[in-house]
Amino acid sequence: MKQAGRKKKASNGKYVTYGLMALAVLLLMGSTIGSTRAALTYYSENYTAEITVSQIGVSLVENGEVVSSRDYDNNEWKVNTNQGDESTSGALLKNMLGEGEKLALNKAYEETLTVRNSGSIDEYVRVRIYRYWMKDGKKVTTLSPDLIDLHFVNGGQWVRNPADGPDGGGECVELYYKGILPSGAESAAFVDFVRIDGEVASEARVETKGDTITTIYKYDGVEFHVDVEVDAVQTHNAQDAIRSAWGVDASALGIL
Amino acid sequence: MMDFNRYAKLAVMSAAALGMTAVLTIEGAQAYFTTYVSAGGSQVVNLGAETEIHEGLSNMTKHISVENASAVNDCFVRVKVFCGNELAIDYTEADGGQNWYLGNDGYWYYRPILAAGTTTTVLDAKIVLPEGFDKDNFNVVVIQECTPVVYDASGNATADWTTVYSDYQETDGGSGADVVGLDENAGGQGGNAGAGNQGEGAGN
Repeated sequence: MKQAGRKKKASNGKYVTYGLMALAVLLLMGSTIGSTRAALTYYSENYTAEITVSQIGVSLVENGEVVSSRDYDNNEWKVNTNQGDESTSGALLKNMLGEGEKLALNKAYEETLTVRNSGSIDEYVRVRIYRYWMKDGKKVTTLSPDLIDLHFVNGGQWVRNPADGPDGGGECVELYYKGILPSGAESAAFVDFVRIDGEVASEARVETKGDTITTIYKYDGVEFHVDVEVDAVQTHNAQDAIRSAWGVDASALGIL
Repeated sequence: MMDFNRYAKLAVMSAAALGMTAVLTIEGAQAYFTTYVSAGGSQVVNLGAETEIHEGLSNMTKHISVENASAVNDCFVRVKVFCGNELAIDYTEADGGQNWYLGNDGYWYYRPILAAGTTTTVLDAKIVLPEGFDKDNFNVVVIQECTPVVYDASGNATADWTTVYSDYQETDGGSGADVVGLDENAGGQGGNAGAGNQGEGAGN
């Protein structure tokens, strides 16, 4: 009797355990299904659209030619650059100087930069421009990035990140495109020329040997670099999407 | 045996629970469509100048030309002739061209851009001695200066002769007024141009 009672107790405990397990499984399943369903409802528009046209894509255009693009097409990312298939990043300033031409100071070289929506959905766009000096593979920090005079235009359409300060100078400039860039459309230019300030030649040493005068410049052989990053994000739930992707408050920036 | 089963089941259930939660997380992160592209480029800024003055002398006339000895860089050049007050100097261009012009500051400017490796046309400076002047004892000094080619707002090549270099070598002792091309050269040139001493007929 005593034995049987213990057995019963033991099996009771087992049932309780199984019962609890089953409950846990049910609960878990339930929660999963629930949120999946919620997500589906929430994004059903997008999912439906994705089958046919929902393909985001963006291209950077320099002087009318696509430098780099990354478009979602047939369930994969298609990356194209003017550097060939191996590269994921395009090349800027390639045709700035003609054959044998030397860079002249203070001269404005055409450098029209725009963004094209090469996807099939509308998007919000942001660009980041980095400019800096390099010499012998090292960054030159004693030269001001402002001497690389990228002429920013269409300030009404391209909104500067207010965190950059009033001049927005410095190495990185962040510009937000105001409003939606519709599929297939090209933005107004955010830069139209590049100019190297003659001040880069202001530090020099002059050596005289007989009839020869040699002027040696401190910054001879220095390279200026311009890097551009373009980011695009969907227009659905733009406020949240932009906060998630870029970490900024889109409505506060006034770009929605 | 029973215990083992129980623990195994528990473990499986925990794993399943973790897996399911993980799936939920992934779903959330993939919610927004985004894309990006990047591109970069660079160009080299070549600076540096090397100019060499050439002076010939015949018939009381200095034949002045300047060579751009730099391998890469173009420049603008100018020259100035210094001499005593008693002397007058007649300038002419040897080939009758219009490449040199006299600025308000007494410098003779070479109009075209002097490309790397080329030489200016010759500017003749004829020294006119007053009557009874001591031919054996005077100096005519020629100095030359150069400045890099820069562009103005409308995109035309110009020479900025007002540039004042800030010398970046402390040891050079360069004064604050170290103007382009530097007058130090005048000293160097002076020894040379001293050969303007016609009396000795220096074969300069």
